[in-house]
Amino acid sequence: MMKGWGLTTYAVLFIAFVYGPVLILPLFSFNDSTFATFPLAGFTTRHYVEMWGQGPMIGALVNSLKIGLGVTLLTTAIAIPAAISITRFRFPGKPAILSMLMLPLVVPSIVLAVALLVIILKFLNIPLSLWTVAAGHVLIALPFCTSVLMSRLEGFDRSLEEASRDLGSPPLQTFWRVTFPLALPGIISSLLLGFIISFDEFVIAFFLTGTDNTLPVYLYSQLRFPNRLPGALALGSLILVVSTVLVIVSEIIRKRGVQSDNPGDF
Amino acid sequence: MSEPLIHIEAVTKSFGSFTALHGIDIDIGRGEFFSLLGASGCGKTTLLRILAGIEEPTTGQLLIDGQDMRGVPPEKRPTNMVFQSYAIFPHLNVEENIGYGLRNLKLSRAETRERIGSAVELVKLGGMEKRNAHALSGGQRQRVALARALVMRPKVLLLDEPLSALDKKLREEMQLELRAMQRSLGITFVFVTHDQEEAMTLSDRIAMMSDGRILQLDTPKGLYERPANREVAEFIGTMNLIPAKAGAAKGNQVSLDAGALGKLEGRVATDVSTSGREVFLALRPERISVGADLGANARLKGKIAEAVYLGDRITYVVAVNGLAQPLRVVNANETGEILRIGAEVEIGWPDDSGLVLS
Repeated sequence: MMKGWGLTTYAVLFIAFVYGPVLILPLFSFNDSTFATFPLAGFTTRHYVEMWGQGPMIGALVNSLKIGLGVTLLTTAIAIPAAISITRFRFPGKPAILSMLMLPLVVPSIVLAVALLVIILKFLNIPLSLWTVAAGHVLIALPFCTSVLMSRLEGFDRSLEEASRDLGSPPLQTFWRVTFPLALPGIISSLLLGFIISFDEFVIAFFLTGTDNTLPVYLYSQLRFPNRLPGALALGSLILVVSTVLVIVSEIIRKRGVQSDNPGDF
Repeated sequence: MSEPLIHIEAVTKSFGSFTALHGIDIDIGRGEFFSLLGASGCGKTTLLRILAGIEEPTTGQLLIDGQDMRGVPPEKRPTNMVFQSYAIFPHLNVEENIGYGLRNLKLSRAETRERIGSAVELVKLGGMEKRNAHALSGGQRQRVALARALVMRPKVLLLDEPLSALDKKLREEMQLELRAMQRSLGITFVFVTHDQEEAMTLSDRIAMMSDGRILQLDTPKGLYERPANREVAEFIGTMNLIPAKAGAAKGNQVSLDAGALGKLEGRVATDVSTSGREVFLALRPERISVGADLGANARLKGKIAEAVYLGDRITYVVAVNGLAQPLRVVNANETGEILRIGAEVEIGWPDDSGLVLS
């Protein structure tokens, strides 16, 4: 019993340590004060109403949503053929290609950001904009999306695709009739993951953006103005709720996919 | 055989430095039930996948119904396959699985319905058409896989160990059904198995494979009665092997010097001269008789080391002085009497039962 009690305490402390700071956000967003300090001054929802009046912040939110959507669609579209080639075909240099694909996972984003900035301004002569931010985000989201898809594609019997070919479906038709529906849970996970990675990315957005801001960059720039903080807290709380829901949904889809679609566990 | 349906000529297959098939030549006739038999890793599945077009041969030629299959993808071949894992599409129900390939044949709706219906009938899955793939038992999935391939009306049905995942009783039942189905449909079956009994039960002819080569291509009877070499003899059924030195041949009878066991005689299956070589005299357990006194038929003397009563037959293990491996003997239970363990016995066999193998 002692051991069980000790583990429970450890788990509670661990969760409090990880999620406690995050919960400060919704707590102060309902606090009837301009300053995020204790003691709490009373309950209000006015920050949630006033938030919509902060035009630049809503503009930044819209920018982030647009970039996130575009980035995740493009990244997943690139990641699908990459994951299929890596899991299905033998070709020379495969380990090297796979390592290169996964490299952005371990390169610090500040290094990537500076390198991309130099390339974009000095070599390509492209003006900084939301487009350059999106390009950077595709780079960092690619390894995540590819590995999610690869684990899904490795999870189902390769002879399903062979059977489809054998029954008269050429490769492209086999992709749409067998590979795509079976990989769908992985594709949805990849779309959600790509979106979240782009949406909360700061460093690359900070370096590569032009006059328009993404939400994280905008929020950072507003920290100097205490009276704007409650609106940011309210928006942050909303984003927290939405992203939690998204992650839970994607996990459910992924789990259900693994349970029902994997021929190994019939 | 008139013009063969499948003509395999000098087919080899290499995966990197590993050679899976060394120069395979086989002709398979129309309506034949043909088995590829061998232990795992012998190349039988690779050969089947080459027939299906999933793998391309490294060298050699494959003709199906007179057509060169080089570069013809699996979707364009007149072959369909039952996979070892069955490969039932998990996102489709029974009916959608069976009808999967029909969409590519561009049939009328009525014809599609008709074909699915009769395939469901054939494999006895009536009433399960709407059932989801993961709600099926192993035997049912096997039937779906079979129906899904047969509904395409292939010229050749390829089966990759389709019965190995089933329990013994179901397997024996499916063997009989497969055989009956093959006879009534008249489709050529190419069947891969590692189970010699299964191959014997089902096949018109069997190609026994090992290490990417064909050891012997023969009827079940031929493989059992006239094994080409020791490996075939030991894979198909049980075989007693008595080491000996071959002497002079008279016709196809060869005199043998079995050392301490004295002079013996054996039959050679082929015309190859064995004179002076180290060979084996091969004897099937059921051809050997043992008894206290065999009179003139006695060839060796031994001692019963083990006796097992199996009802319809009795098996003995008989130790023979000068022979490292004891002889295995199976006798039909005709009198209900059993020789005691430790009994001194005489051992004999008919003249033409001893086969000389190198």
